[in-house]
Amino acid sequence: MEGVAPPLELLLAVKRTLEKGQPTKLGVHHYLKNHEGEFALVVAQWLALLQQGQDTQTLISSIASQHRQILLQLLERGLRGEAIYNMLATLEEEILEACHEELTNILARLPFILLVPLLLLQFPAFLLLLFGPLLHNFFHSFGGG
Amino acid sequence: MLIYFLISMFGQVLAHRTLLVIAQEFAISQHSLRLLKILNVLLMSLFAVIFHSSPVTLWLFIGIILITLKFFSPIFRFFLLRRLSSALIPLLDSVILGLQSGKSFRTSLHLAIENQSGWRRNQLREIYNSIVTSENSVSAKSALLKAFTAELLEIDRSQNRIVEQVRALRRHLKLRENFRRRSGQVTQQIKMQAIIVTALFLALLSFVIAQFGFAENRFLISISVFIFILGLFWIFSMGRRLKWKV
Repeated sequence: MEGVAPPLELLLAVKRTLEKGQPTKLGVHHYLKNHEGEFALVVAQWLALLQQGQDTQTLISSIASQHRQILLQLLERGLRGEAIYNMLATLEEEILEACHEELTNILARLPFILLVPLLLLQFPAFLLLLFGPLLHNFFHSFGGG
Repeated sequence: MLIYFLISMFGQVLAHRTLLVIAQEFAISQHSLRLLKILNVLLMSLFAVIFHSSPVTLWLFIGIILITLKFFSPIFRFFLLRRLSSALIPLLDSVILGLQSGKSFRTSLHLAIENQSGWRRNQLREIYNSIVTSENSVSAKSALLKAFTAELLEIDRSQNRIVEQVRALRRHLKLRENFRRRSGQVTQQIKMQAIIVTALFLALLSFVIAQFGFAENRFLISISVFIFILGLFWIFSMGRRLKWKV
């Protein structure tokens, strides 16, 4: 998860395009050109549906994240020619807040999550390596003695 | 004796040439370059004296120095490029200041680049040159620099609301940098745990092998190493599975 969250990446790409005075569509294309992954595939599908004039609601509602849903709905309005820059700026703050919250939660949970492989696999490996030869020698001395 | 002298001189010339190339690429100052040249002469002379009984060993050491110098450039460049991203925001700060003082975009950029030092200035000059010549293909090796150049080229071509555009670009870069730093903490924790546990395990493994022998305990050691590696895979797969939910 190193780097910027996918919806924020898309939002920033579109926002940068609008700041340059270019249309929303170019920003979406720019995002699709430079990014790949699960969300980029969804965006590509969504854009294809829009270009074919089909309904995108089913696809948007299948996305788990509410922030991504809202972003795509907002971009849809932008692609129809509405002015969305101010709304994008507000949504950017919301997404940023959500990302910071998610990162804080992960950073708080991570030490406990990392304990699981440590306790279940690596600690036994240490014990085996430390006491294995000792016990081996111990039983061997009984057998030999 | 003449042969050792010639070998060391030949090695010295090769190392000297490589040092010159490195100094040119990374804009090393004349003073530092002179110090490196003296170090090179001393090192080669020392090798010639120490290994005067074996020319093969002398060749080997000269070879090691040359290979180290050969790989120095790409490794050093890799680390410098990683640090370069943090220099772009102060560069844009200077550009904005220049623009606010009434200078043109190109002049402000040029002055901001000239205020940088060493290798960084060389890399940024490439950006400036590509803007002046309006080249779309940037010779920069880093994707970050290519993207940055493309943004600056667009700003240069647009010729309107330049300060606002540069400010927006700076805000964009700052946001990305902050995110990279914060989200990097997650992977950093995972990497640090893996490195510390592996170092401890290797130390214990060497102790056990030195104390009890490998052949007598090979079965136990193999099982232990296998379980440990399995744990490492688990840790790294956890890192890979962490994905943004937002």
